[in-house]
Amino acid sequence: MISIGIFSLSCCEGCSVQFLNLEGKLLEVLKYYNIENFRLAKELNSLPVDIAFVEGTPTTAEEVKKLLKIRRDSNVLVALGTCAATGGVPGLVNTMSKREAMKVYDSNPPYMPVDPKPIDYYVPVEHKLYGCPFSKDELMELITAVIMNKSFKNRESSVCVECALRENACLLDKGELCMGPVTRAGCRALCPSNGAPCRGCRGPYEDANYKAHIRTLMDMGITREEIIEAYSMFSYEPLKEVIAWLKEQ
Amino acid sequence: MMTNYVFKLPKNRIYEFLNSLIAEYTVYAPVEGETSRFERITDACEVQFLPNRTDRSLKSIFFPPEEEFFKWKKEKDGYVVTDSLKPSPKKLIFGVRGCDVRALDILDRYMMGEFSDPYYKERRKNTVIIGMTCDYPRSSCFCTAFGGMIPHHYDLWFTDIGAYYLVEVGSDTGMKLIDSQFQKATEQDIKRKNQRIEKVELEIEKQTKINLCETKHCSQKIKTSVEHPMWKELAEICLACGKCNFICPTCHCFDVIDTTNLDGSEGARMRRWDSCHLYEYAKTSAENFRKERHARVRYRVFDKFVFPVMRYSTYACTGCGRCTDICPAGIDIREILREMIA
Repeated sequence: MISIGIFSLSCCEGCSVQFLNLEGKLLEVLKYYNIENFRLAKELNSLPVDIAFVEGTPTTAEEVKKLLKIRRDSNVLVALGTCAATGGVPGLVNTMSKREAMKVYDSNPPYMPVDPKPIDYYVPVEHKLYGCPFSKDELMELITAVIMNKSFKNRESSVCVECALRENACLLDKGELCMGPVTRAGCRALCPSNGAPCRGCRGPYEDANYKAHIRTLMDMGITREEIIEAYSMFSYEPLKEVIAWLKEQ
Repeated sequence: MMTNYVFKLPKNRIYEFLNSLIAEYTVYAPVEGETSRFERITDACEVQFLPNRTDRSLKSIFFPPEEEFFKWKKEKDGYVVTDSLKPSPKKLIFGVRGCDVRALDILDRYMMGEFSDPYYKERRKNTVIIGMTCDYPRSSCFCTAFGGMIPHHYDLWFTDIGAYYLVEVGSDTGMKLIDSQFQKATEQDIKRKNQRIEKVELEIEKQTKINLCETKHCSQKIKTSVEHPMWKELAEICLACGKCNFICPTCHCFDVIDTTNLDGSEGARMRRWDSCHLYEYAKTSAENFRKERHARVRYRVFDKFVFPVMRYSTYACTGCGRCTDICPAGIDIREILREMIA
């Protein structure tokens, strides 16, 4: 039996829910894995675990400590979802000053946050599952790979590739701000296949050509501000430099 | 031309003719949806008579984007493998354009030539091709650079000549499809057909004149342009999305993927289209041979205009212009060729 734990840092806990969304497959998984720690689904939780799945990103000093403890008490650490893998939505705080951000609280803010960073900023991470929430197929791929002692690797291509494989009509042609060309594949182009442009929830991939994407969008008549917003939404942390460059244009 | 093999069909009889084909064959014909493509039709009224080529080529009928090879399962006495190759029905494809028929010839060389692909072969055999002359070209068309609109191999070829379709017979199978509704074509009809083809080809020439006639010479010119600064310029704007590869009627690369259940007691092997524009394409255990994007952009052009000439003495491009139409970055293959050959 391989023991696993699903841990939450600052996030919407959507990835924990996605774990439960495995439904029938979860029962299969439980034949090989023993869930030792899962706050959303279990009352009694313990450490250490063989594989720790961490969702969210630390935004307080306590959470950083929690993350370090999880790392110490696990053999394999998996960044579950975009927040953990790239900083994701919490990373948006970094676009403004802390004081400005804290104004969302009516009275005194509960605490001053630390900068949201991807978790591999603090600790070494073995695997990353991108997506908001992550893709169930990819999780199953990872789980199978661990049992069979095979390697697991993330796609190094864009959502466009998977979208083209499904022979969809291109949303860029329709004038939509689609993040497909710079977003990592693995979701089987779920949104574009259903007529909604890609928001880039899986974050950028290694070979992405941002300048070409921006040029294409601008040629379509999309404003710089709209592009900055789209780029910042899920990937402010990894795309900081690109966004800074875009602001200068 | 032998007039015995040229017929004409009154236009109002085309539906009757198509329905008689549907009774005998699995018929694919152009259907306009979000994108126009060849789809299986069960009634002649579903067919759309488009003025020129469809957005998608014939490729996915014979070589689908994702295809399962076989399934395997662990039984008491070893593994049991079940082939997913199913016998394919007799197919007839109606309304194919010259560029697509040529592309199919090229795809056949790759998939049924020195290496034979059983999955492709099964789908490809017993396929009847009924082609049609374009009414006018698309802005991206340049088939005249590869020998014009009418290919060498077809079963029947339709050309709109007003109240009739002029029907040329290209094979014995095609001849068998000719029934009593068809009339003998007159000299006048053939003349009208020729005029029509000339007119459209002239139209194409007017918008794109590329001289690729001397295959060996032109491909040599492209081959020696490895260091051309244009590749780097193209790499700046290329998004590496692979759409030009997937849409290309002659691109045939695929990746083989194994999937298993959790304990490895059953699984499947499948293939999925692959694209030479992707970072992972030329990645091996030791080295990635085309890490830089400009090398990948160049490779696609070479794989259409250089390598096939070396192997088969033909270009692997038919001038359909689909890659130009689909490219989100607006890369035009004709501009590349003009730059290289000029």
